[in-house]
Amino acid sequence: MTPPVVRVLAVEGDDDVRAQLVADLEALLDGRAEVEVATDVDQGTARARAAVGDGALLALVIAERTLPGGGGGALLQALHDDPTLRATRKVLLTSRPSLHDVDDALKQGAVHGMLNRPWTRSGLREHLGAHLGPFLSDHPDLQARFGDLLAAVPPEERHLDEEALPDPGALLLDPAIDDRQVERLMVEALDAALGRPPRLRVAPGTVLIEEGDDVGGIYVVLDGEVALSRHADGGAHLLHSRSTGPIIGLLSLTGHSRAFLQCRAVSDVLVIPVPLEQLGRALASEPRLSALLTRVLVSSLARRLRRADELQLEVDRLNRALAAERDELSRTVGALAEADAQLVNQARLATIGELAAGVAHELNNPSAALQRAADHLAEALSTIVDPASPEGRALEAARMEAPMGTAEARAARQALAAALREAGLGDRALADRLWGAGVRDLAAARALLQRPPAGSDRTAGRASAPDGGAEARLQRVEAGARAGAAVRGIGQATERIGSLVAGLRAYLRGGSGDEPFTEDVDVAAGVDDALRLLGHRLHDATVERDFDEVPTITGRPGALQQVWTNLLANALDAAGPEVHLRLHVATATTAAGAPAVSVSIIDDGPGIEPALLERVFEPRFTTKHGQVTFGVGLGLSLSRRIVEEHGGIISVTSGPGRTVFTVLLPVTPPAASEAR
Amino acid sequence: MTELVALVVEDEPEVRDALVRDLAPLAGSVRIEAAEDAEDAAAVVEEVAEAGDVLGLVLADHRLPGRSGVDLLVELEEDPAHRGVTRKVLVTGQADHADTIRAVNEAGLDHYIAKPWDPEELLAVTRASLTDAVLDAGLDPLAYVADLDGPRLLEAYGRRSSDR
Repeated sequence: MTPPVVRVLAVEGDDDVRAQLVADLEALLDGRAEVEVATDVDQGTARARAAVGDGALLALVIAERTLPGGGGGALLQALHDDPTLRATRKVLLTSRPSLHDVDDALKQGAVHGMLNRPWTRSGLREHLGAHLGPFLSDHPDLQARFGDLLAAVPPEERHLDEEALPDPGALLLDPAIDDRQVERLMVEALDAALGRPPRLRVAPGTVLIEEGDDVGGIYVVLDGEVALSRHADGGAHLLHSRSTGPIIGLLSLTGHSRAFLQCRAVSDVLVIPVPLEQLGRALASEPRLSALLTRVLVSSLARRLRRADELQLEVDRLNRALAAERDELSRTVGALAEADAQLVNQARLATIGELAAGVAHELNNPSAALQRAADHLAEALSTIVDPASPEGRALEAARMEAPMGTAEARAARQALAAALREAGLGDRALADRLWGAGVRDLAAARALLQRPPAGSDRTAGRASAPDGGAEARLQRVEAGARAGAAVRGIGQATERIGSLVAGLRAYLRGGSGDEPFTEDVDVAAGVDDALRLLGHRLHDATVERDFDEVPTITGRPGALQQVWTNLLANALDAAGPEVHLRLHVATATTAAGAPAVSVSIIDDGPGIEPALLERVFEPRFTTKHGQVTFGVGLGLSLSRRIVEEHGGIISVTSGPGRTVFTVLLPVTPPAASEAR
Repeated sequence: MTELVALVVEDEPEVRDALVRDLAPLAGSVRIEAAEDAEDAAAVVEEVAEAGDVLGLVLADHRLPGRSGVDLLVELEEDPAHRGVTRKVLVTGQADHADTIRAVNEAGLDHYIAKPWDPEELLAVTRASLTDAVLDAGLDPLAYVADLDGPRLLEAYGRRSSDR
């Protein structure tokens, strides 16, 4: 008996694809099987039936999914419905990785595999082997012919060993039977009940079930990995990959006919499609299948539930991470806004600094002119007015007079008035005039008024008025004293302007950082200068100075003055205008034992919070946001920088009612020669 | 004889002297006293009261060492010995809004003179204030006709005479 002819049918409408498919099939089969072709559903059906009529074995039909005349799915379905072609392996050729519109044929067992287009020859070879194997299991005599193609012949169909199987109760509950075993037993039971339903082999990426599809059955996954995902919020969300379990389409078993999830092959996957109707038949015919299926389902569901729990934990973790990131972000935004405000503030301070420098410079001219004018005035007056005359003496005395306190002056004036009254020379108004003219005692008053000796013919009633000559003299002397006082006033006012300008310039120069180190810097004088500079803010303050004799140091006087000004201004800001300030200047020694000068500035303000205390010297740290006050905002960090340039240390201790800033400056800075 | 006193409170000697000098035209009938701070001003106020004199006017700087000029004026306002007679004028180069409001509300501030001051204005304000004080204190108007607001004082004198 001649061995039967084996045939392979390729049904493809596209001429190029068909030609390539035939060429590859012929190369692989190498004459061991005939390759027939067809171009549409009708022709394909006819050629398949003709093969049977010819007595040939039609081993494999490869049909294009989008075949003209109803599609490859319909062709394969039709062939499947023909009992003479039931054993023929049927493969769909497809470029679409979805089983969406062919799942009817799949569920009927009409499709055994999916060949993705474009294929490779080696891929085609695997398909050939995978399908020829099962087909040839009924024709052992032919297996040798295709030996090299039959890579893996599926396990021999086995019938359930009735004796070896435990009863359904044990199958359901016996912990000794592991999941793998149960799955294998279930597949065997299914095969026994349904007469080994066809296996379907699909490539990675193939969609087995589309979300929303009508699901008419389940897939039993024999090999490979599938993933379950769901489309939501504009993207696909992977829900299960390792937690799917071997049964796909679980929810269809619970009565939801629409697929809830998309099922996609992640690797090469071998599945058995089982329509619900067939499943029902199998369960009825094989009572143990029910227990096995239940057990598989329970463990699958348990796996998915654990996965869901994990997902929930993951969601919680992500939410926490998200909240943390949101907080971080808002902190960052806040810090940026703060940094921005500080930059604006610094820019404003820089502008104010330039403005102040300009004003200070411009003030020098009128101030110098004023000073010169006062000098010239004094010179001119000393020429006009005879220095030996009463008015000349009054002028000089008023010009040189040391200022007297108001209380002291009042007492002296009252004494003069009393003496005048006593002597019968005049009343309080005259005493005031004499006082204003620089007359300080009775003898001088007498000399000026040049009254005749006592016992004259003047009546007591006229005693308060000087005679005509005396009145003229008094007026001249008053004018002289006024002129002298005016010259002195101009000089002192000018001096004050000069010292304010000098202080301001020293301060600004210190801020620019290029001030050279000089020797013989008087620290105490610098502190006093700072006090004077802040005089306008210290009217309500109580200032207690406790200055020891200290050696002069080598340093940058302007920069140091800026430190004192900063510290004093900070104390004022913190404690308010009525601050009680205590300033100590004392000799000290550095940690290394070198001679040093220490300056402590103590205020009675509310104190600095311990949490902030560590940060007060940090760059740009300020609790006075947006407030521009002279010298403030450059802040303590600048002060620290200056002190450290001097090789010194600035430190702070604080509690309610007592904050102490201490600056320790070595008499000779270790790096004075190197520093700028 | 009861004297009318005007008190200048100013801490800077040059400014204080200048103020006193600018008030010199009134010195014939008004005693001008000066104090350098609120403390000393209180001493003057006490002396005036003890001597039975009349404190007609206080011209106070805002910024003073220790208590401020506003504090001083508020204290004066609260002292029944001076309320209703003593006029209060703030002379200042730098008063912030809140302080000025306080001076007006709590010290019954009568006038506010900005530094640098105009001597004419200073004299005019001082004359008007002291005239008010003379009338309120019931002093003899005729004694002040030459130095203060003559027409008003004469008018008041006439009214007083006809009332009798």
